[in-house]
Amino acid sequence: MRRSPEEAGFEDLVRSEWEQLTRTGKRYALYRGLPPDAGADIVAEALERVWKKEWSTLCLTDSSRQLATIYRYMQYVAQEYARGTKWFSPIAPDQLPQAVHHDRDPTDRLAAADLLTDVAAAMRELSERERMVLELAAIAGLTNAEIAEQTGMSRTHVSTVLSRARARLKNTLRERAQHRCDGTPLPRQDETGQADREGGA
Amino acid sequence: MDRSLHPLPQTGDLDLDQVFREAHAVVDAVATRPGDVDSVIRSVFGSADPGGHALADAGGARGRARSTPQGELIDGQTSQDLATEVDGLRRRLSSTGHDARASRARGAGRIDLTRPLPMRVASLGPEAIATRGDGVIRSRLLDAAERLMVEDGWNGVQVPRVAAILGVGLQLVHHYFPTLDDLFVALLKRKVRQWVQAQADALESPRPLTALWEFNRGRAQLVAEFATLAMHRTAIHEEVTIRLRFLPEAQSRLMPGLLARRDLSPTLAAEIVALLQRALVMSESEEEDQLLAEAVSTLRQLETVPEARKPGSEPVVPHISLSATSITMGHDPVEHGRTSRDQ
Repeated sequence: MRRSPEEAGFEDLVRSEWEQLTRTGKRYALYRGLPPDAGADIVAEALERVWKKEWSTLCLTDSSRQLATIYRYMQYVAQEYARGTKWFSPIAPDQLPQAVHHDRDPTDRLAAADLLTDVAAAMRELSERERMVLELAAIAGLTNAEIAEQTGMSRTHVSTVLSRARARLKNTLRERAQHRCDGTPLPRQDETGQADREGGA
Repeated sequence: MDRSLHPLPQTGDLDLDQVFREAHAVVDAVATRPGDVDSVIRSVFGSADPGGHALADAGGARGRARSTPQGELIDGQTSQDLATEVDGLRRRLSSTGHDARASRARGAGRIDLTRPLPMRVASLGPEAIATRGDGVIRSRLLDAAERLMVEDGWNGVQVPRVAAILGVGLQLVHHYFPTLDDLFVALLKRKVRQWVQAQADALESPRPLTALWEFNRGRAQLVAEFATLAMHRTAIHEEVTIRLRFLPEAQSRLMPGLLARRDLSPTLAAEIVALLQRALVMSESEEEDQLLAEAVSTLRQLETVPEARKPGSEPVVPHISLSATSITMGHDPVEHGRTSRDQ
């Protein structure tokens, strides 16, 4: 079967970036508290949407922009999945492999699970916009300019939101670390994060 | 829980990048079922055509335009076909000695537009007569256009560049030539007039065939440029083809009489004329090399006959190489035009 140029371009992009896409999908899923296998579903769903909605014009642009768009769609899809599922599950320690590359204690699976739980919980405290920008920057690895292009915000606004998000995340992580260390009570938080408040039924 | 095992530092500054690096490492180490890229791509392509949503949203013309596959031209000719066609054309041109593109690639003879060109009316030469009554400015504009065409090809002829060569404003160029097509047509008219004159001179010369051959070599590049131009600018296609055809017709009208004076049969003359024409740029045959060699040998053969009959004359050695590959037409393209700048 002869492929159209659009199909060929799309397939080439997906095949060449498949490793990166699946890895990013898994990160999106796990930071949202979704099961690890949801990553593959996120990738497939996002690719389908990009193909339907964006590719007729996107195929004319360069590959970095195409990838950035796919990452943005993956972020949307992960967000929708997290809204649909009402439960928040930190990853179980037995799901982690034996040796996790870890500076402080390479073999401690509990520590790794704690770290992931803490980061995921801290990210839930962010607002929707902060979380989106932070995920695009820290998980998908987009530059500020790319985020601005994808989200329609100005670059300066992206920079502002990103630094605010990082500061809030840092603050929350430090609070949680102190809580684990000496039992300092965490500040009163809602049971559910803002994402659940906005989208959850 | 053993608190000392907790990865986050309890005191001091928190390096968020480091935290993310560690967290990413944890996430990446989590085992998942392997993703299957083939099935994903199959399901994506099976889902819908691209632009299907846009079609449903916008409807009408936008959706139709989007559903046209990229890379397909309107008349069904794909860009791939076009590329091969252009390649073939380029090869044909280069095999007939049209070397302008190569010289352009080498950057040879590029015009330095920042430097004003000293163009003297006195250097205009015979074409001042050819363009009699047309005015000096017009003829200088045409000179500039011709030079651009010779050095940069037909694509290099642009109104701003013509104006820059002469150091005049765009308005002046547009006053004489309202459109670029007008400029091309005027240039072609003038060149054909010059060529007719030069051709008549060549036929009157003692060695008409060699002179004719040299004449055709000298104008080969411009003819090629005009032929390409006719393909690209449809507005002047008719004009160009008619005028380019005029010269061979005049030639074949004059030739038999001239050759009869030299005891050559007109049929043989017609044959050599045909060979000459076919060997030149307008040829569409694939065997140009062979034809070229044939043309040159026939030329020598024909010309040797009348000269050898004269008692006491030295044997004719036409200064044309027999090797077809070494013949490069248009190596001295401004031979019959105005003198080039470096002279």
